[in-house]
Amino acid sequence: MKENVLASETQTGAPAFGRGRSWAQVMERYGILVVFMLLVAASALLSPVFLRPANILNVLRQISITGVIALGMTFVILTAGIDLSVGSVVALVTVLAASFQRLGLVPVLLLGLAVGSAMGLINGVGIAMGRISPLIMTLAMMYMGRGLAFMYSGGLPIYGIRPAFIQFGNGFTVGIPNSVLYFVVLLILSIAVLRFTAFGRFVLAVGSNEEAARLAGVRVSRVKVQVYVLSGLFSGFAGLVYAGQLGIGVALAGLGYELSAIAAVVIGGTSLFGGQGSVFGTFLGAAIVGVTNNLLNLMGIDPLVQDFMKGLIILAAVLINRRRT
Amino acid sequence: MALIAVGPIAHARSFLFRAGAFVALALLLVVASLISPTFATPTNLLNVLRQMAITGVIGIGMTMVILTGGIDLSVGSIVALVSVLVAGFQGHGTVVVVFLGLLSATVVGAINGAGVVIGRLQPFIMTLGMMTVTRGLAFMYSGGKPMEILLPGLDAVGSRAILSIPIPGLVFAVLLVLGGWLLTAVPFGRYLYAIGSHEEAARLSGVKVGMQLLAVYTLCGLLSGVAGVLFAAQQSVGMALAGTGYELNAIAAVVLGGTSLFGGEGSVWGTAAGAAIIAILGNIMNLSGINPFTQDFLKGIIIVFAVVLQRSFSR
Repeated sequence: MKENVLASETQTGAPAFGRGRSWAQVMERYGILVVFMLLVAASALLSPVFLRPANILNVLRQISITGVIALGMTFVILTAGIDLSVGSVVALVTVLAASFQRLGLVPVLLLGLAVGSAMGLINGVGIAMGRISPLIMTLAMMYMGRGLAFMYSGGLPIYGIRPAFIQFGNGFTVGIPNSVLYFVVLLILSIAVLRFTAFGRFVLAVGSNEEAARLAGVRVSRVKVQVYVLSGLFSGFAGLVYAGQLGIGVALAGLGYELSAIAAVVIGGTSLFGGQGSVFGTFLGAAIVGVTNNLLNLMGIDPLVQDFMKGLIILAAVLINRRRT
Repeated sequence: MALIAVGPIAHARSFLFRAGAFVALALLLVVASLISPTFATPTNLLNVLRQMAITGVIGIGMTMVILTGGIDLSVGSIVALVSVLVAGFQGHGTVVVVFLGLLSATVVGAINGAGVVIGRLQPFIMTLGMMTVTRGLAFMYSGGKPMEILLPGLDAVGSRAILSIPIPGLVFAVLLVLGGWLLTAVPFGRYLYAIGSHEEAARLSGVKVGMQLLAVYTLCGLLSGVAGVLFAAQQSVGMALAGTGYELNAIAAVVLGGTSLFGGEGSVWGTAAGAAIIAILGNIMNLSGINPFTQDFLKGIIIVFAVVLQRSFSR
């Protein structure tokens, strides 16, 4: 530990300033983790129930759906893009999943993933080939996806989701909610993809400097299409899980999920200008929001006051974590 | 290659950027008049103007913020807060509540600016936080219930017309001209372009970047406050759910108008065209009796079409 501190100080060539200096360095690298730990410690002190396994699983279950979406969103934002259509993908997928139950579990899952990927593909093609700004392209897809969901469902909830599907979305495996398992598996996969695959490096390269990436031989358009397909795929999966939890398909599902997901990514330290950030940061970002919600509920804070407090806590979290430049 | 220098080339380029949105708007006007005989009547066009006033006024402030490479997500929540404050303090008369509404909006804007400048937070996250905080305040103040507004003076602002132009439309037009003037003829406006093109270069050239950013977020808050007053005047209700999603409408108008989200390029005139495109789309679909469910879908397709059109004219 001590050698580490010394080593990094020699690296930066700065004289040893003792604790203050190393604290700044720790914060710069692990800031969001420190903020998360502080929040967890505060929650544990404020509410005796907080650290119980049942409650922790509850928090994880609450963040799992927007969390899965945020994982895909991280890849998009790392390329300096954005995807506003994720909530509409969720809506369309819940509606389709509910109405095609007769096909059986696996075909419905495949259908949902295919629809999500297809919407992502259209986004990616519009952005990479059509050179439309990501915000506008995915905003348009947000309208189109939700419009389709409304047209298909006639604005009414679609019932008839079967037990096997509810088990898929809302069941437990060895005492852990399925949605949490999916989230954790996808989290680990995403971390591995970003860190250890060529695709992951390309994503960072495109976001850091698109022109340099192109000159270095990265097929920028292809990478861009891939990240939007990935985001669509993850959102489609989130929609399937959500349909299993709700037990109905409804065109209003997933409203505002885009901002929740983007908030998790940005609180997690990923730059909206691309090239910098991490998937684990996104997990911490989602967890910070989830723990905050949970704490406000456990403390019995009036729901009318919760929004206000939540905003303040999020701002405090990012203020503590802000990058020193 | 957006440079701070406003040479003839840069000028021509930014003109073309604007022209794209206007060509798209002109085409849309022609198509709309062909589709519906009612569209091109003065009554209907003034109706469109009334409908786009709120998005337009917010869009002016949003354009300025986006020109610096920033963003403001709190605008819709400011509309909500102003509407409930106007309702809650209506006993003091129109002038007092309007002043109070604008003041509170300005304070929220200034806090956004302080967070970005002093707190050095990313504008996206600072204004996202304030979006939650401000709507939270509106919920706390109103108790979550809609509050009726019975102020004849304010009602007149929402429903009357001067020279047959609805007052909200007039307010928008005046602010648009002021905004255009501010961006082109006043150092403050030029600084915004400079900051958005290259913040460090602007700083080294002696622009007080922090002051300008603080000012631009404050101004955006104030303009959102104006939109909040217009909302209260038109709807005669204050509610914590007012203005939900206005931030995306305003940002869409700005980007449709050819302003770059990375800052440094764009104009309020383009934003006005963008806001008009969105308002006309909604209007023409209503006039043609298109199912509201289908409207969202078509709106998405047409927005993509408008942007592609705009691009092909600006290259």
